[in-house]
Amino acid sequence: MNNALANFREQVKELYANYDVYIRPLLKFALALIIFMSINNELGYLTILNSLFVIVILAVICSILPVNGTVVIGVLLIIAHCFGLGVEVGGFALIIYLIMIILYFRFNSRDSLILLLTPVAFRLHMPAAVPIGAGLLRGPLSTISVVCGLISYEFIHVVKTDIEPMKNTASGTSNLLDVLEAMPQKLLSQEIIMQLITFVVVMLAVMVIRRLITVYSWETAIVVGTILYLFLNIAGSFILGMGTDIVTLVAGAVLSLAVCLVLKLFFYFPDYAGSEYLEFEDDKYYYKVKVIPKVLPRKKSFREDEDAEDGEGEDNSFLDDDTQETEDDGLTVEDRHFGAVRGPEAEKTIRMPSEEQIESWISQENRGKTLGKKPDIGGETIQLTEIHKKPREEETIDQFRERLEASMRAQKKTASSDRNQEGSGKD
Amino acid sequence: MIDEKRLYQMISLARFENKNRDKALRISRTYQNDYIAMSLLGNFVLTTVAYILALVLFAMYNMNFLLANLNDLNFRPMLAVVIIVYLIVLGVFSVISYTRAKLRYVRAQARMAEYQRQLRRLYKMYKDEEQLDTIRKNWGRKNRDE
Repeated sequence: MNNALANFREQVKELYANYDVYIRPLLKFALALIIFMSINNELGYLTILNSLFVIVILAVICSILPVNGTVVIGVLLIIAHCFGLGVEVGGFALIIYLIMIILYFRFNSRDSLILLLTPVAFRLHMPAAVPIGAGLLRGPLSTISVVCGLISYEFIHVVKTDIEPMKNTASGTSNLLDVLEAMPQKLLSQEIIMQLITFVVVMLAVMVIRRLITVYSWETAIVVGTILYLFLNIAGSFILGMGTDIVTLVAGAVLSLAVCLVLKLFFYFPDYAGSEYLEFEDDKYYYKVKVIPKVLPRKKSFREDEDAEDGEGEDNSFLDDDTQETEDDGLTVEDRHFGAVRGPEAEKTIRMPSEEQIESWISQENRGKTLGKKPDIGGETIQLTEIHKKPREEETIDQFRERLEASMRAQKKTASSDRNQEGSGKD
Repeated sequence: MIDEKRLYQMISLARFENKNRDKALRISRTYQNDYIAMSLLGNFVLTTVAYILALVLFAMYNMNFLLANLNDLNFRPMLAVVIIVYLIVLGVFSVISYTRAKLRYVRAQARMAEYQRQLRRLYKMYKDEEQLDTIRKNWGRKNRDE
């Protein structure tokens, strides 16, 4: 099972790596489309923006912008719809989002997508996915992002359920001041504060459990987070005397659990069976380390190819002889390494000599030159053949320098051995 | 013939420039004090705007109370509270902005130092290639003369 999941994960990663140029804009387009359609379904007060054509155009624009571009356009869409309902509602929306962006998201723009993902999660009836997912993937500071996301959703919900009826009263008139006062008061109602507390507690609990050095910490965090979310919601509705649809709540929680397990598959996939516990120390610290390997897809071995007939599927068999057959043209591997060829190409290329050949040439040539003279061993006056001073085509200047020095050392040795022979001969 | 090592070096440098065009490369063009000062100035403006908006929200929340007691309100203590809270909020966000700007600058400097080191390495590769070419040319000329 683990291997199948690991294979699936690697295939998805490979597909993404190969077609990243196409997949990434497509994903951004799909995400933007889902977000904008969900905003239009919830609000939709500005009819010009309700057209599918406009939404598709905006989604296409978002596919070429960074993810924060989608957030900006989404927020502008929400504000535009609120202005469609009333100037005071639009103004209030503008103030809310400006405060969130100025005070928090300018420092942590990575989490800005949560502003729009939270309303989408509520619309898809899996709101628990937001705090659990944030607890799994983010740090403690992202609690503020989750709170901002919830405020964003609750504002949209308040506009739809409370403010819109006030604006569209049977008498046709609505008191501006009543609307202005109702908006912040509805936004800070007891139900919303209870939901805020639920989200924060669930996220922190998931984060703490996920970071424990135990086996199955992520799975435990997801399950505990889901149960905690259910418990806090039911307890909160009981305390506040609200009616809650338990079936929808449980179904949403199960759906959120499934989504988070899929997230876990792509972000954290260890093989607990292979974990090791190490203890060691140095001068300053004692180390106690738990090492958990990742689940990597196991490559098919020779014996697993059971469907193949004899001779099939054995291209890379361990029984094969790995040596490559070459034409017998008298050249050694080293000669080929230095670019030597035979045959028709030989006239166009220069056959490079091997190291040993150069050494033997130098020693033979210089033996003749140095017998008559006494070279100065202490200095750098040893004569080197011109062949040796020529750098090879594929060597760098450092390699060339090293080779020259090695030859000079070899020549010193030869010269000193010749001198010793002379001295012993004289004696 | 293309030198692979040099090619990989150039690719990694180009990737760094592409990734950091708006970040480390831009930040490193200013002095640290100037960069921090600009961040604090921007923070001052934005925090003031956000504070005013928050005050507006607060007024909206308590609109009935404010309108009913408008004549009886004592504005001096209210103003004092507003200013003190403003200074506290500004102080907190200024500290956050200062820390963030300083950390960003120091990290950008470290990345730029590594970038310069890799650039010097590439320059050395080019110089070595020029020296090798010179040696090969001189060897060829000497051989022909002989």
